[in-house]
Amino acid sequence: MPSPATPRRDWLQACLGASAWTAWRGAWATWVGSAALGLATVPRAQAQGMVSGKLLSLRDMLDPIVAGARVVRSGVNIETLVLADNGLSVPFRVWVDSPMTAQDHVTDLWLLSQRNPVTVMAKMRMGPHLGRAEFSTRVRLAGGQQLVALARLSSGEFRYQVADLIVTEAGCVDGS
Amino acid sequence: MKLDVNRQVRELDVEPDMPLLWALRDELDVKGPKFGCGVAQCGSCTVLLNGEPVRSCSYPVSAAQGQKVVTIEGLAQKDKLHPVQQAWIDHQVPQCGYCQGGQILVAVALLRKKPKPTDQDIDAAMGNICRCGTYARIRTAIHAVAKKGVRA
Amino acid sequence: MTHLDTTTGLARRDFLKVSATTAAGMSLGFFWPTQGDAAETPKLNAWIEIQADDTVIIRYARTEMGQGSRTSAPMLVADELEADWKKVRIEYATAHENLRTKRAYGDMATVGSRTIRNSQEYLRKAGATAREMLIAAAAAQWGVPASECTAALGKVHHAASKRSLSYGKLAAAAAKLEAPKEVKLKDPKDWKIIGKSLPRVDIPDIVTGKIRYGIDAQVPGMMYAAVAASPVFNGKVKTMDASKVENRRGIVKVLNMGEFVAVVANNWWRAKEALREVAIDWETGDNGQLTSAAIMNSFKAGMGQAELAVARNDGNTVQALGTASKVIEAEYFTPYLAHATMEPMVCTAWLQGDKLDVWTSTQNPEATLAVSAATAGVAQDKVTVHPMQLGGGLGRKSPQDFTRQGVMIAKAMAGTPVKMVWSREEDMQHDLYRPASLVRFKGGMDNDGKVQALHIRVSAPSILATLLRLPLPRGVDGQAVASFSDHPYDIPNSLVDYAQRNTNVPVGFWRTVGHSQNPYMRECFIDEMALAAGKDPLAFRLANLGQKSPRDTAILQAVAKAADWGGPLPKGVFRGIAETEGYGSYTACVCEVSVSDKGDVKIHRVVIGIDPGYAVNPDNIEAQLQGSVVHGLSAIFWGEMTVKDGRIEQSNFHDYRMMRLNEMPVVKAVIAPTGGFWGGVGEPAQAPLAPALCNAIAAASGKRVRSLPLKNAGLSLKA
Repeated sequence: MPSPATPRRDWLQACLGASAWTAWRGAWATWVGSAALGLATVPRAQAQGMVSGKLLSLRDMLDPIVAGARVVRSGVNIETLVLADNGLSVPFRVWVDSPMTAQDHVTDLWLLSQRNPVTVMAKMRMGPHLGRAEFSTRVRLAGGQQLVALARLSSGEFRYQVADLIVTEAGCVDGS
Repeated sequence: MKLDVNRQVRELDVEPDMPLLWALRDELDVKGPKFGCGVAQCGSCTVLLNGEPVRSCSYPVSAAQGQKVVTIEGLAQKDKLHPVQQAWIDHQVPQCGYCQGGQILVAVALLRKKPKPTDQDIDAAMGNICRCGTYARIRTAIHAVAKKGVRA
Repeated sequence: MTHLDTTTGLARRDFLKVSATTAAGMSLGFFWPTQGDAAETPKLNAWIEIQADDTVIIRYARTEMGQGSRTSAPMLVADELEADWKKVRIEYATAHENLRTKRAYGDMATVGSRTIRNSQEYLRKAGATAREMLIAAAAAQWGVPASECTAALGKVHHAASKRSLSYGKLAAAAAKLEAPKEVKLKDPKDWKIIGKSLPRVDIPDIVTGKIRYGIDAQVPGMMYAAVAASPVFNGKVKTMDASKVENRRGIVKVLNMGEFVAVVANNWWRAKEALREVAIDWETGDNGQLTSAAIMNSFKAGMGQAELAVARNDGNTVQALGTASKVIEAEYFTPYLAHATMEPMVCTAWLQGDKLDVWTSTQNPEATLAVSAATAGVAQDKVTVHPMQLGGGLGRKSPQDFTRQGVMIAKAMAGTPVKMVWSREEDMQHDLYRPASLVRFKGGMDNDGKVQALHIRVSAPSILATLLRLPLPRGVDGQAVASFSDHPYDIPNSLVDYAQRNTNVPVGFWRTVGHSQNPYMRECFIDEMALAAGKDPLAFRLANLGQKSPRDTAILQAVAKAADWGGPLPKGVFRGIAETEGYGSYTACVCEVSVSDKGDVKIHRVVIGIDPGYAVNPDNIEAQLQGSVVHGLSAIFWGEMTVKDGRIEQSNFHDYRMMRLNEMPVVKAVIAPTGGFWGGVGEPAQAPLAPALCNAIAAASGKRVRSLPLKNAGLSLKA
């Protein structure tokens, strides 16, 4: 039978032990780049290119949006499964380290897929009215790949983070 | 009750109608005989009872008292493989192997009765199901043991 | 001798305790247990460790279910490594280790006949890389150029100075070196291990009863669970009354899990017997109305559907059919089939706080890990999936429906390990069946017997849409149209369209999937066209393949030659032929049969051949060919799952018949690798069997069977 959609509560439990959650939340101000903080944050990229579909490079994904502005891999946090048994509905949460004041806030947040037929999976307009630059959703993935969360700040600079997701292949599908 | 399993006396206290298969597997941790159907259709559960192949999933444990039960684990003696086991290796008979414990025991019983079985003898005796389809090699291996002339 | 410590069923905690006291200095940094007391076994890369005594440990990252890959895949590593196979020991790479190392072992799913073809490049590279590092280490030690050194049989040699060092002596130094970025892989003609019929490493443990399958997991304090889900598809538990059994000997608990009921006891038989007397009232709604006849009506309606998904559209088929000299039509049907692996579905799980251990027979350990973690509500890195041998996979043990059940039970019984075993009846009635399929063919030929147009319309369920819930490109399920949309014939006008007709009957990947049924229909229809054109079936195929598909042509000719097609046959014996591709390989089959007036089919010989590109272990391939014939014939003669009152009617081997040894025909295996590509072996061999057989039956009896199983056409298998 198809796997059931995982209740959000159970999934959060699955991704983080309680102590890891607190430690990590506390650490997000100092966390930079791709330092691994356990399962919840971003593992280094090692996409397995065995599923069909062209894999875009990071430049392919960022350049059309960033268009020459400064882009730094820091301050953006992703929480998702490292391993998904099925690409149908993978939980995904992003938040950006930002005071979200009128002077300093996130204006836009993109979710980019390395492999899906449509690269820009989601785009959100944000502003100081939100209070926190965060959103969570479920994404559908056409196989294991990197997902990029890209944020534009009010300064015009960009911040991003990369998550490496493994999606196992379920069946005897010929040729793929 | 006491059972003689692979030349060892084992004690157990279970319902008399518990199938021998589950007494062996779950009570005595003898995992060689396997569960495939529970209705004596497939033979994965085959054990030798006083040398005769029996489908242990449908044989009450109480009836095994006072009998010599031999499972696949008990076939080799003192680390020396039984000739049928050796033939199974020589001819690369098993695929997944789940049914093979039963197959080997039935072959042993056949060869003890008929050291030089004909194809008809093999047809009649080897009724266990093999889902992987190793039948051709089972036949070859049995003939090979017969040809060697060793005692089964 | 291989070591299967991970399959003894010991809890990981227990094992680490043992190893710490018995092996002083043994590195506990390794996540998985390894036999051997080397304090630090140098790891040249994820796949290879070499011990001081020259033992080479090669990791195998997929599963073993009889297809032999646990031996063949490491052969790929060993060959490039220039290892001494006698010193090779194969150990499993585990899902949790794969997760921890960010998938250093790649894909672990053992499906799609793709272990060898998908992993051969990185496995060979792993071997070659390690070999270069060992050579470099020796060269450094000797102070000579690496180019003057060679490696063979586990040793590095420097011919000029007549010096040698075994891998065991070099491993520590080699492991410290940086791996070369580029390595050159051997030319196939230089292979020393690949291509040899090496004995399978797990067979000795099989014949002695030492091997451990998922069902054999044994954990201290373990309980057993028998389960029952609604026999009517999509039903749920409405009410449950366990009062009759709750206080019975050995019964621990009766669980109402909503979708199923589980009886937990201290012995599986007690659980199963008690389950029979738990009064379960199932909420089935309208689902109890479904019948095989209704399903057939649904498929027929699909045939007449206005909107269809188009899988292939070359030229203008409708027009070409209108102008062809000779047009024939036929409708074919193949039924639902159950997997019936010899070992039914099992899952042993133990939830201890936030840590979960799972022992199961799975074709996809990573999926087991992900689903187990989510079901138990624990972090993925706290889940250990212990590798076990599978008592058959056949595509059933890749979906995780049964492991999810097992973990749900373990969660309800938190702290206690529970082994869930499905009865054969539960297994047969809660399968993910090979879909039934109704296919209509319309073929148009010119006066020379050249096919000008072929229209194939499929009305069938979609595995990809229902089981995997994948979006279908242009609405086409590739499995439903497999071997139709990619047929190899040189036909100027081809139209393949598809009506997706899902039913309550859950469908999944049965061995050979779409190629388990479509080639039967295609190659039988090809014969029908050949007959209508008055052509020999082989000549007709060769003419219509033309130059378009050389590999299809080659295997067809190889098998025809091996079967002496066209040569004399005893009176009453007739031949049938078929060819197809699948899983990257090319296959063909010739059957020789006689058919009595009463419909007894005597199969005198099956000649079955495959071109898998490269044959890694020929003896193993022969075994797969022989086994595929048995698997196929059982389905062809007797296999069908019928639906009545919303449920499957068949329940055990008495009404889902399996072939037995006395019915086994003579099989001649033709292994004809042409090189230059890597094709699968586990599944493709089954594909050309049904059409070759049915074509032979048609030649012998004049009876064209367009619907399986054969028993429904009054045909029986004569032993």
